[in-house]
Amino acid sequence: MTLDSGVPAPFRFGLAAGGVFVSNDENIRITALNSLAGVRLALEARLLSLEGTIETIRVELVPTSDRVASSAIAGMREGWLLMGHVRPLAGAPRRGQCYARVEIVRGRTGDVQPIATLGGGYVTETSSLVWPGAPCEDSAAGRGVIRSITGTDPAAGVEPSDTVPTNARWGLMAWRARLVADATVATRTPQFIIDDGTTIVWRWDAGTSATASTSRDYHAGVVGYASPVSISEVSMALPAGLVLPGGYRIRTLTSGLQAGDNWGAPQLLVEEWIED
Amino acid sequence: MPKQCLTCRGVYEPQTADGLEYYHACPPVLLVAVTRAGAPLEVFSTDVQPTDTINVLRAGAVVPALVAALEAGDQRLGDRLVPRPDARDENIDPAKPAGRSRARAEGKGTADVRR
Repeated sequence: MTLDSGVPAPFRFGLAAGGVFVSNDENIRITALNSLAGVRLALEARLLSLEGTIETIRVELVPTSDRVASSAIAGMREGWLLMGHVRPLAGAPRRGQCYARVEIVRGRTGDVQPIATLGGGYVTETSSLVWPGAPCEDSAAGRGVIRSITGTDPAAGVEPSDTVPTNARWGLMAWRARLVADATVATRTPQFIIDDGTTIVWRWDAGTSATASTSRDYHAGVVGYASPVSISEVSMALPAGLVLPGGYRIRTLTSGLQAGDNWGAPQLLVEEWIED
Repeated sequence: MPKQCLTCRGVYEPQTADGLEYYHACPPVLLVAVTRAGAPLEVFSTDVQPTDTINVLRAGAVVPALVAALEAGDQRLGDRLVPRPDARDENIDPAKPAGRSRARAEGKGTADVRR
C-alpha cells in the first residue's frame, strides 16, 4: 500500500531500523563551546514520522565566543530520527575553535534532562558533525588550532604575564618578548615562569643578565639546550609537550627590574583546544 | 581599538589578530626588600628610592648597597612577586550569570587607547 505522500508502508520499518525512535516528550539539543566570533551553527536532521512522512528538524544557534556552553533545543514529533548534522552557517571555525554536542533530551526549559548523546566533536568550515557515525570526541583530543597571540604590553617596571583563558587548553610552543633596560646601573636577571595561577610549576633562569641601557629579546621554546644566539638574543628552554589548562599563567620574574625598564608585549605561539 | 588596564597600565587588543577574544589579567607586582631609615620593609619595585639600602650579590658575596651607588654586576636579592592589589582579570567566571560582565575581577576598569 502506498500513501499519498511519504514512505510506503512496506518500507518504513527498514528505514526506521537505522534510526533512533523518539517519543513526543523528547527533543533534540545542540550545545556548543566556541572561541571564534561571528559563528552561527545549524542543527538539521531528518525524522521519519509514524505516518511515514520525512520531516526536517532545524534549529540555529549563535554560540558565544567566550568558550562557555550555549545551547538551543528543537522539538520533535514521535518517530525515528534518521540522520542529521551540525554545520556552520556563518564564520569559518577551524578545528579547536567550535565544539558541538548533540543530545536527545526531555524538556525544553528549566530542568532539561539529557537522555542520549548522538555525537560530539569540532565543527569547521569544511567538516560538519554528522550522525549516525559521529564520534563522541573529547574536545582536548587530536590537533587543535595554532595561534600566534600578542599578549599585554606591560607598563614600565612591570613583568609580562598572560593567562590561559577559561575553558581553553594551550600547548605552549614558543614565547618571545623584549626587555629594554633603562640607564640605571643594576643587573636584571629574568626568569621564565609557568604557574597554575598560584604555585610555580616551571621556572627557567635566562642565564644571561641585562645591564643598564641594553635591549634583549628573550625566547622560550622546546629546544635541546638553552644558549644565547647573540648578545641581543637569549634562548630559554620549555618542556616538550607542555599543555596548560585554563587559569595557568605564562610570565616572567626579573630580579633587579628597575622602575624605568620596559618589557614589550610577549608573542606566544600556542596550540589551542576547547576544554570544558 | 586597544585598551589600557587602569590597574596595571598594560595595553592590549581585546581581540587578537585571528578573531578571538583576548582576556587580560594583571600580572603580579614585584616587591623589593629594602632598608629605609633603618627599618626593613618591602616596597613595590616602582617605589624604590635612591636612598634605600638593598642586599646585592657582589663578587660572590651578599653585601648591603645604597640604591644610588649600585655597581655594574650587582644582583639585587630578595625580590618576590605578589598578587597585584585590585587586579583586573577578564577571564570568564562560569559561575557568574550570563547577561552581565562575567569577568573574574573588574579591577579599576579600562580606557580606550587612541593612537
